[in-house]
Amino acid sequence: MGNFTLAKQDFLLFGPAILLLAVLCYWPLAWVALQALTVKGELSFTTIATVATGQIFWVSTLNTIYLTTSVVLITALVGYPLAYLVSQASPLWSYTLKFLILFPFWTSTLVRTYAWVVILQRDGLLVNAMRMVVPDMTPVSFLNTRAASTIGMVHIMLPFFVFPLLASMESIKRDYLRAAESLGAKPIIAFWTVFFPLSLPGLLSSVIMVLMLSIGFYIIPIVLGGGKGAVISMVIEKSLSLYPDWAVASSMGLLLLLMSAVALTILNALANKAQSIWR
Amino acid sequence: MKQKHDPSVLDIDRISVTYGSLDVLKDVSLAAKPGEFISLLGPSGSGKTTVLMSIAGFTKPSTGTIAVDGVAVNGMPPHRRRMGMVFQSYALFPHMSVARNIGYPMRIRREAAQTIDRKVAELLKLVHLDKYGDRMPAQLSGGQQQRVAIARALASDPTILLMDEPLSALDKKLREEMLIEIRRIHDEFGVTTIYVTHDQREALTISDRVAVMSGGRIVQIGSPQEIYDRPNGRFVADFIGEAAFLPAQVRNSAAFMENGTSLDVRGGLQDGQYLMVVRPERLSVVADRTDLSPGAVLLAGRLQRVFFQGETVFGTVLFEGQEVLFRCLNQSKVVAALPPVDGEILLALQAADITLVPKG
Ligand SMILES: Nc1ncnc2c1ncn2[C@@H]1O[C@H](COP(=O)(O)OP(=O)(O)OP(=O)(O)O)[C@@H](O)[C@H]1O
Ligand SMILES: [Mg+2]
Repeated sequence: MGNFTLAKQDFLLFGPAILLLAVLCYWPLAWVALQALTVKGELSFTTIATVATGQIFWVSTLNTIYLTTSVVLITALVGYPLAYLVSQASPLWSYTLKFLILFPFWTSTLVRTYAWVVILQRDGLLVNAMRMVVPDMTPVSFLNTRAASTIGMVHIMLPFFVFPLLASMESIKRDYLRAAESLGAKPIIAFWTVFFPLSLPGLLSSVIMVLMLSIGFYIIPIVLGGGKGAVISMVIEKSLSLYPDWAVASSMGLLLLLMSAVALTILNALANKAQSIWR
Repeated sequence: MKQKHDPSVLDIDRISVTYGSLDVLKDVSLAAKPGEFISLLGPSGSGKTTVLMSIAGFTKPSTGTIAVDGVAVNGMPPHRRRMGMVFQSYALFPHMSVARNIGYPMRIRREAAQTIDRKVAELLKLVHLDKYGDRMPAQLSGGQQQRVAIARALASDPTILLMDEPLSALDKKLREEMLIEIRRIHDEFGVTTIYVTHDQREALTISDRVAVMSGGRIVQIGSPQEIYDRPNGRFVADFIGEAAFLPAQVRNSAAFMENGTSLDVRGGLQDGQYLMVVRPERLSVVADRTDLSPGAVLLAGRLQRVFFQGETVFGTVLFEGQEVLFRCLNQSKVVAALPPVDGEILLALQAADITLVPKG
């Protein structure tokens, strides 16, 4: 980016945002780091080392990675075609579909999560629906499974995935696809050689969005997943009620942050690699 | 070869396109001979792009047929039509280098890598961009992008090259250079070309034939000279070049101006109301009423304004309540002979330059 100078009045513009971030994000983060990395006021890595080598931490980390990965993958598999459909639809259809995708946003996550409980529980809507096909099915509950967590989270994440991607898909000029076809590419080839690579930056932001939201998600894994496959956010919550201070929870929080950073770096590298294929 | 029976590469036969209740094309017919350069010229919204899109297969005409090399292509999808299309926006793939863009159609056809490299190099040379293969489209100027778009369209080895206002995004000077460039590339490649423009100078300069469009129809088609010298109606005469229209009529096969001056018009015209097309450069200033060649028409009017335009002098004259324009070369002798403003001026129109078009 070019260099630019700031005038005093510029601070009036972004000052409030910086202040908000400082109070609500940087300061608590610094506080968390302080809790995790000090013992009685001295710098110490013992807490974080103990946490990082503990079995509970690793199991919950693996659970988190598993859940997050499946949520991101399934959301992408459902969301990409959906976004594509919306981006190619006529204005009226596009508007209608966007409205339908956004519609669930109007109810809270908690309410939607409990809606899934109603669907998935023993004698719930899903079982009753299945009984129409298999009448003598024993009543089972789909609650408290990894699958339940995954389904619930995909449902919540879908709009977060679709909209950033859609924004980038809508900026891909239709003439690009027409040009490809006039140059002899079948529509499917035109899609993979032109549309898909051009949608990659949007795909990346959508994946990052869903990844970041999923990695620390709490409500759904606890309500729909129950005890199964405890994720890191659940362990953090538990350690807060278990230990007298915040040191353990803070250590886990920091490690979670680190994991996110690693995931981001890998994603970015992958996306760059993928882009350069076409050059 | 079947071309012997049917010398048209492209044969559009009475196609119509409608969007809802809007008739965008009405009975458009157009045939192109091999290697011909045809321009579609017309004002905005006259349906030029729609004709091109129909040829390329992106728009489906509701009636009529389009044949390429004698074979109807109506139901054929765009990717099988072999139409090299140059878009107004160029539509270069932004994620591919210049060389990749040009090589795209050949990669799609799975040609050997060496063949592709060789052909890309040839095409880059053809459009004078030898050293730009590794650049990304965003790093090129408008004119360079335009040439890449042409090279890419040619790389698909098209039966017909379609260009939609390829120069409209360029500045005037570059436009004129590129125009000559496009014609050079066309002549070198010999590919039949349909060129869309709303700029009459472009169309007249570059084309073998010009099809003038208005309101979804082709109003007249002919060589640039025909279109300019023998417009078939007021629309074409007005749209192409400058012209004043003086009322005239034909009675018993003899033509007269409103003031009774008889007009020496060959070719039988039906009786009726006409307009005489008077182009500024066809008028010459004469000193004397007797100084007329046979058959020439004299327009005696009042000089209103004179504009010096460098190599030409341009003037407006009030003739029988109507404004008539004339243009002459900026030669001292001619300019010195001009009367003062508001003075009487005598303009002569040679017999060969008298053109009548039906009124209305
Ligand atoms: N997809 C469409 N739906 C409805 N109307 C359309 C569509 N495409 C074109 N039209 C209409 O068809 C008419 C002709 O359009 P077209 O783009 O062929 O004109 P054009 O001669 O290329 O004009 P321009 O010089 O502005 O590019 C216009 O009135 C336009 O509004
Ligand atoms: Mg157009």
